Amino acid sequence: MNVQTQISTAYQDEIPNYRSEDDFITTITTARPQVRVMNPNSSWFKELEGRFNELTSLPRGWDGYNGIPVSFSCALFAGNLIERLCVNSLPAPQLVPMSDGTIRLEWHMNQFDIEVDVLGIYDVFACRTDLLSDEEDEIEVQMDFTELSNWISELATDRIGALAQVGG
Amino acid sequence: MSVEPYDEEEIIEGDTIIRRVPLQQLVWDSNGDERRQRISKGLNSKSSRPKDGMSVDIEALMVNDNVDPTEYVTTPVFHGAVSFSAAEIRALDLMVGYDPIKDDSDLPDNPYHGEVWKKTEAKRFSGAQQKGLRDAARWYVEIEGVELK
Repeated sequence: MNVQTQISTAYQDEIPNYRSEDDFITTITTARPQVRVMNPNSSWFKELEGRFNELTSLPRGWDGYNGIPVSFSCALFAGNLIERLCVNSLPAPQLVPMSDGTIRLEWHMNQFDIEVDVLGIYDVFACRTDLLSDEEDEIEVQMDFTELSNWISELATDRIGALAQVGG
Repeated sequence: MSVEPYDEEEIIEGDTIIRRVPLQQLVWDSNGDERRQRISKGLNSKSSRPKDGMSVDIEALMVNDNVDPTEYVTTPVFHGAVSFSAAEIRALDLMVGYDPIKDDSDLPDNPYHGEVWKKTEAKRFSGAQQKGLRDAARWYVEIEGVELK
């Protein structure tokens, strides 16, 4: 058995870490959905790349039970989402691994809590709590990320300053 | 896990149900006067496969075996844990039962392992259930400098 170098990076195909001795010909795997971060350029991506790699390399049982590392597909999709949502004036989201290999993006600032669960490719659930009004919104996102994008834009607005102006 | 979701009659209302807190699930919160570290609401999540639940440890089983629960749930590396009563879990329309971990080549056996399940198949606990668990949680093994919510 020829042991390949094990690479731990979120931005690659999921590959086995060994190859059988008689596997002289490169095998073309059957087509399956792949999500790639195309030309990642955002400041958020650059900041979070190491964290993605850490979370996809977590050991089995990392949560004290039977937790598995963040799956490459969830990490890849989350990476693409981050590229799409990036607002340079905002800090990058915090990445929280879930026990089942999914990943959550979180922001807690500007009197908002925003939590975005990436459950799979185009399978996203997001929740926003407005701490000023105590309103809670939940959205399931599959193809259209416009509303989630709007949430992130609103996260960047100066709400306290605006409230102070209204108050006189 | 392999057990079908069910509600265990032996687990009585006042029993303590423990959930370990990994450092990976702590977040920084800048809302409020001071930036602070707290537990992510994600700690109180079920696995996204429809019949899976949220892993917990059942204190009464450890006590029956003369095992120190505080030591058990923080061994070897886990830093903190929170707890709920079984009644608090059931009040959120959730079930709690035994699901021991045994003979898994990647994991140590845990005969005290249980699960908290939804009564219906779903990918996630509802927002109200997650919030209810977070509000009910109290420190079992406190992590210094970290807030519950």
